[in-house]
Amino acid sequence: MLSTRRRYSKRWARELRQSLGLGSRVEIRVLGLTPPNRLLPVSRFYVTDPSNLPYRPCVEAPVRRRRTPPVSLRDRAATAVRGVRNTYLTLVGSDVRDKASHHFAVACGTSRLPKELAQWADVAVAMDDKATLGAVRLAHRVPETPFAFRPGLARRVLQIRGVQLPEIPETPRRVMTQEQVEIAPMPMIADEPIRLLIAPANFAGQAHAWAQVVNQRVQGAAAHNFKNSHAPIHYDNDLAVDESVFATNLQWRRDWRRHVKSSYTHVLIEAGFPIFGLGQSRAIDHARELQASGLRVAMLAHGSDVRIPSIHAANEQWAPYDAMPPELVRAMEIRAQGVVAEMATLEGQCFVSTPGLLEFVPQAVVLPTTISVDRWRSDEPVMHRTVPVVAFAPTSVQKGPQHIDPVLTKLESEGLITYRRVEKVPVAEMPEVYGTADIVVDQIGVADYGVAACEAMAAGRVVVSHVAASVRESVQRTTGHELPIVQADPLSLEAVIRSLLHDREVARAAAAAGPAFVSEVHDGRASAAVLEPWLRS
Amino acid sequence: MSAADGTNRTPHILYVCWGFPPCRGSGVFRGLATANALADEGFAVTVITADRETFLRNTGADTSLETRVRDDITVVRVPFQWPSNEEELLLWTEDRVKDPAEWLRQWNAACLETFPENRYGAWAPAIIAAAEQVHATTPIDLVICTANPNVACVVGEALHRIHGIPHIVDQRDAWTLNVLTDLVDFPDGTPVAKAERAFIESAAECWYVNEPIRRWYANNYPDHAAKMYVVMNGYDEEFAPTPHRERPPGVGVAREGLTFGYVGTISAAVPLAETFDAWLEARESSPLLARSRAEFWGHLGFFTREEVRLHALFQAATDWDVDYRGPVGKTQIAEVYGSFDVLLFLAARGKYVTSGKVFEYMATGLPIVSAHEPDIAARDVLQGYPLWFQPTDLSPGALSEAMIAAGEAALTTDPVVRQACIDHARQFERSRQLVAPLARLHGLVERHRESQSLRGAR
Repeated sequence: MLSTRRRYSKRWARELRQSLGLGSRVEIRVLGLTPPNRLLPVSRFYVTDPSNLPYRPCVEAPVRRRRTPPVSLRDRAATAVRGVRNTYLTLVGSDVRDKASHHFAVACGTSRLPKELAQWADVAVAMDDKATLGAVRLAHRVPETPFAFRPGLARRVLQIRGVQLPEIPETPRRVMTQEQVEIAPMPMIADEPIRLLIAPANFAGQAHAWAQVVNQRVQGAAAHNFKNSHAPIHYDNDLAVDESVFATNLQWRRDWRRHVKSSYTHVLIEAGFPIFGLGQSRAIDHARELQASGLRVAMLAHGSDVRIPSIHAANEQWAPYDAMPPELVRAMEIRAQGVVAEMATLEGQCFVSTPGLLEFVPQAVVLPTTISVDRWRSDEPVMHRTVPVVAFAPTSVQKGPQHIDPVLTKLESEGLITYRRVEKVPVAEMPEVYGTADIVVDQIGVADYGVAACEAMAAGRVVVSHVAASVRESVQRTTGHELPIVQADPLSLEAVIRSLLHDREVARAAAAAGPAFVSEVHDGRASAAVLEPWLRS
Repeated sequence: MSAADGTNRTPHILYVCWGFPPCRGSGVFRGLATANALADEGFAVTVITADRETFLRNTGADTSLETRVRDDITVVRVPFQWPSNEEELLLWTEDRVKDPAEWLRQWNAACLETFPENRYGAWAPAIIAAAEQVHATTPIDLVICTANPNVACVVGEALHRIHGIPHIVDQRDAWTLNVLTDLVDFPDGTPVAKAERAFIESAAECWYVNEPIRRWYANNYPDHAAKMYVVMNGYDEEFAPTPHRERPPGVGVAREGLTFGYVGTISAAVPLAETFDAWLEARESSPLLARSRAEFWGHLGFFTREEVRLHALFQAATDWDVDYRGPVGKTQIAEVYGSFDVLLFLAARGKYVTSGKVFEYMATGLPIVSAHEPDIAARDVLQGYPLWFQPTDLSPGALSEAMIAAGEAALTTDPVVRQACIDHARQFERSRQLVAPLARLHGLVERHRESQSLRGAR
């Protein structure tokens, strides 16, 4: 194996033999750049020595932990090499990997030991991109030995060369072992006439929030939310399971299906996702199955699940799709078209969580996002700093960071603002982040407003965003309130922020309108009022 | 038939088919059967295909298939580059090594510039040159090009444009239309749509594997609808399973249970999880199924997230007597079918989906449980098969009922009904699909030769 890794992880070591696909009875020798930092399942380890120009010998390094004292002259030489290596790394700096890789390649092309190693081997493998040049040069020196581009190809190159290999049971690289996955018990719902399940997305904690709203505000109703999780969970759920369980635990799937059908009277299916488990079934298939079992079913869209890119781009100048990989946009198009079609065929109620989505699901009713106004309230004065803080959380390309970052960076370079780019902040700390900012830029691209904008408004900050006129009109019409988000697009964002910095009173007034608006529209009362007719129908 | 040069030359058909023996892909059987059928019909046949190394290195090869090619067929192998699959570094240049991803990106871009088909486009100039050489040696009277890949069709279009030779586009599947999503992947004006239009407009005939696909093309090319035909796949007699004409032994006596079987590629597109959900339910409801087992044979990948999930599903399902047995070669397949009592027909969603295995399934005469959305093209083929059990949907309740009914049918169905199944299947034997198309070919060739002789007389 040829490798330019500087460190070898436990996982690398653990998966080494499996990745080769040659069975367990294989002897491995490694030609590397740096001695191993941990015990590896190899018989020999050699390192190239970049310090000795022009002749670059390779020396053997001990296949043991770094702290183990060397026991032979050769081992002492390897230790010396490590010392030189580390010194070299310190001195040369950031391009050390390219230079070191170059030296590795020269060693492979000129030194005796790499050639001997290649002649010894039945197959040689380049373990990473930067080892590939060295591997190619060595392949030309020793053409009788096949050189594979990656470990997983070692078996193939041997078979292509006509080498008979023992059959080995093939196993997937990543095995979902459910023994390690803790499965929460299915919750029992209160014995009310109306029992609602909202599943399986809980984006931005909304499903759980709506369930709480029903529990607290709809007489004779109880609600749960359920989440199928493939990532760390940031929000509360009544029940959440790991995706591996949702997809492949047959017993759990069977029990969950029976639990849902026997426990609930109403199911709200989110984002076009199936709720009984992953597979080929769509949300509409599970909806019909539930309806056949006597349950009332509605579907709800959150955002990109129904925001069809081709339609959005045709109607919205600042649609974000040019900044996204075409294959991703294509996948979004297919999915959104599918979910819209399913919602159109559902014999039941449809909801959308933001007014902008009515463009795609016109038969739906807006189910307002719900937040805890108290949690987001901030007593920090707004726009009192000499240099205000402007926060922007680029959680996705759809927020338009390519438009927003340059403007905020420029204003910061002029000393006018402090730009707080919010990344990798735990959900629990976001009230503090928004609550201590002056201005929050929400997004430019989706032409709508969602949970993040509501949170910033509840915190009493100035919220700047691009919201389509049609959305503002819809909000005014349905709530009687003007949406207190300061309008900006890529062309006007800089001027808008400069204006807010210049006219602090106007900015404070915009900020002050936020908590009142959120309290009226997004504290849960409006959501309960929207859900109740459906629950009682 | 007299040629323009006055000799009684056997009509010469050029058949372009990338995946030809020893290629091991499932599409090879259509190519093999078509070439042999053309030769059986009395045509002189030259096949242009990829070099053997392409299949040995990349797709997997079954060299035994080469012995099935008629001796009188001339096979011209045109080297095919597949750099994304070149795992041996000896074949790499140092340019490529410097930035393999960028090198590949540039290669793919150049490939698409040549012909708008990922990976295959670069083959176009070489196969056109090879076809010109063939024509210069022995004049070609007709070209038939089988997709996929669609690049094969450039030969027909080019020879028609340059020499006026009629050509047939055996498109099989759709290209601009995505048969799984029912969306147009390549709208009008895109290079792919333009290429497809050029093929269709210049072709004498266009062949598709099922009526829904043919209908879609007929609707989108109404001026050319009259030349669009369905030429279905079918099962190959030489590889066909031995029909099960009798009930399984031990009927009426307590027996271990039945073997439910599946043969075919197992991908994320097939409803495996739903099948297992239903299997659990069926075993709870039926003592017969509770003591039965299910075997799955076929290729299953290992690297994508979806494939890992499928492996995990099989792992979970072993507790319920489900066994994944791995890939099976064409020559062993009859033996595998021989061990089954009921067939599980899992197929992807999509009204354009027929799935090649359905024909082989029917040839067994076994009960077939459809584990797929009801509205797929395969339904048109299965309609009339006496032992077809189709649930209304893929819910565990509906699908498990179909499994139980099929299991009971396996025990109770008499030989008369089984024979009716076999008789129904016989119409889908592959050579029968080519009878009508082959009959039309003589007319095409004759008209071309007449036009050539008129041109020569002038």
